[in-house]
Amino acid sequence: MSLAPGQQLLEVLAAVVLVTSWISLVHRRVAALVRLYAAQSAAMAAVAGLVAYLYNAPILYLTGATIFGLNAVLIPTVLLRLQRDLRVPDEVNMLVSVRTSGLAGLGCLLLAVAVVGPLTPYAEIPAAGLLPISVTVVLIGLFLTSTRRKAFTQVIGMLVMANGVFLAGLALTFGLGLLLELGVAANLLILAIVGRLFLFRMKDSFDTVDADALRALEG
Amino acid sequence: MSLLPYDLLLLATPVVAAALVMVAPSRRVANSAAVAGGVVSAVLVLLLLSEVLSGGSVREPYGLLAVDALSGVLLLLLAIVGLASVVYSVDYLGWEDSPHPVSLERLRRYHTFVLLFLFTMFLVAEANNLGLLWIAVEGTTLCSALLVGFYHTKRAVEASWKYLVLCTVGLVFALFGTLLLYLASEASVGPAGASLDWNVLITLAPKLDPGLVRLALVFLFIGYGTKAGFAPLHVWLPDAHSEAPTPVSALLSAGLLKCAVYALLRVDAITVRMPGFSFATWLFLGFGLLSVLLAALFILVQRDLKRLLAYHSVEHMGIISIGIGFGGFLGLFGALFHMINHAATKATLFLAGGNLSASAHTKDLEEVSGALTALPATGTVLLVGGLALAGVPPFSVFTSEFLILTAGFASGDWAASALLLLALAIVFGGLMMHLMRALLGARPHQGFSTVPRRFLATALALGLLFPIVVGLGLLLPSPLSELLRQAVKVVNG
Repeated sequence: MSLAPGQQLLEVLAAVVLVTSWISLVHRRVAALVRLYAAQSAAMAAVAGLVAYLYNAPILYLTGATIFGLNAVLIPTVLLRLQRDLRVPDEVNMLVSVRTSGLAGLGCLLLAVAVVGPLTPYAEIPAAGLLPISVTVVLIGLFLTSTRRKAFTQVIGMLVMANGVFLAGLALTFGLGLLLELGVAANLLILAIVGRLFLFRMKDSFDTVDADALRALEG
Repeated sequence: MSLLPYDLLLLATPVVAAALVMVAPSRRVANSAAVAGGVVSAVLVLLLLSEVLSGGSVREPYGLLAVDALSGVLLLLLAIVGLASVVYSVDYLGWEDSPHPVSLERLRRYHTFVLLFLFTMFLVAEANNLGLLWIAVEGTTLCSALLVGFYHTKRAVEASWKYLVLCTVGLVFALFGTLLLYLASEASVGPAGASLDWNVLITLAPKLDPGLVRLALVFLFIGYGTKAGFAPLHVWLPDAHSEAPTPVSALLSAGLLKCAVYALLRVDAITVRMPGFSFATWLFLGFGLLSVLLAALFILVQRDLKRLLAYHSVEHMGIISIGIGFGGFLGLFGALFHMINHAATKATLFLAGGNLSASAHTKDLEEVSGALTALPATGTVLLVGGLALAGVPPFSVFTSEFLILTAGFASGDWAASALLLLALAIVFGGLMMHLMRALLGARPHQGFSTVPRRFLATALALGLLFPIVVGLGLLLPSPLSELLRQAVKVVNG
């Protein structure tokens, strides 16, 4: 079955979102993770714009612009400046090896396809094919959050998770409606600000942003 | 329908008060603005409730916000606990000679975050759209995380980081579950009619695909369950409750956890309208039983007063969840009543516990004894509150627990009811062992602080909560009873 060019482009962009997530799992440089997040967000903004064009949903142009401005430009800029200000070493500290991380990424993809693949036919819109990819991105974000030692990298993991859910929103609902989209985006921005604040506090209190230092509270 | 939009005014009040606090030139003005915010919010909640009781529900024209009896129950407990916490904060850290004094700048920041935290919780109660509900719940995390880490100590930073990461990750799952519910509505009526509007979903419920809803529920329970402190997702809770300033601990335990359960109740109200669908019931019962049993074991070994109370929160959230799982009129009535009772009792204990720790200079219960003699007022409140929390008659917690157990036995859930009884017995023993030693034992060597302290705000806060703890077990006022009845109807249809 041949797909229309617009649909093919949509799949290419979705693949970019997926591949940038997977590379985040195997990359050893913190700054590169931030740039990968920016690239992923830019691809997501393009997905929003393309879905808006293909399915005549003009509100999604605004969603795309929000994602681009916030996720692809503002948050990565803040994160890179934060890395410089806090002198966060560029080496990603992992709890598991690079190879295990890479394999886990493939595992996330297989799990997502197995769990939500059967749901795709429920949706009336063709963009629902993005659903398994969005779940994979959520799972990869979760893996990043839970297997990276630096609190800084954990923030990136949470942001990747949020991107995955954004993608699911685009795939399933043509966005949640303008007000709700803006609400979710505002929450994301506040999350980045709060995360930034905590990283400063952590640096003050522990002289590191390594979450491994957080071991006083148990039981 | 009144001329004034009380629902919108209620949302605006804490925001306006927070703005006033931010520019307050002195401690007195900052404290007054914060307390005024709490008082006006409480009055507005009472006005809203009177409208709800007479008219059924209040809805703003765009459908994003609505207040019905179910939201009314949450608003009521938030108003009471919010006011008590804001008032108590004045004595706790509001003055230069408070037990935990902070600079004027930090005091402004503290009151601002508390008021914004209240705003997000009010928004949870008023949200009539599941997307907006999610935004509001995530908003509560972001505001309260800053309050949990307010003291900037190593332990506080650790607790708040853990809280922020776990709850945010959990809530991403909840958002995904919300999207799946939208997909379910789309699958039943097509893209044009699909919606996250709660009223629309209620009417679509009989047509929703059970498989999709089941998957959505898994994500929603993981997400909101993390926030509600259901075991085994509760690991953030004891740390956050123990490291936050005491009035914030009270707000977290008495208000925030209920907001998460409320979100699940809204979803439950959709699933109970799906013929032959009982998956939500099993999830409520499963998470509830696991929570009460696990909490019972941890309660036995806790030495830190605030961690002890935090594990009690896990237990009581489990009891509420079990009540919802038993379902029917009695189970739901008991669960909703328990939400109010637990909120008042736990807030009382946190605030009185704050007095005890400030005077004894420790939170370690092994190091405290003779508190009833040394601090007669605080000791009495702790003793009565402790007995109430342990489920001793005639206090209000006993009444709601009794209703839930009766619902369990009446619905034939013998095993779950028996396990709940067993957990309650263990908890009773554990709590009494810890509290009696601290309250009744001989006076410690170091003694209690005898420095005279401000007590007016403390007395007012406890004076607001204490009558609820004692009185509601003896007499359920008819407006409250009616509110609870109507709330059960909102869920069960």
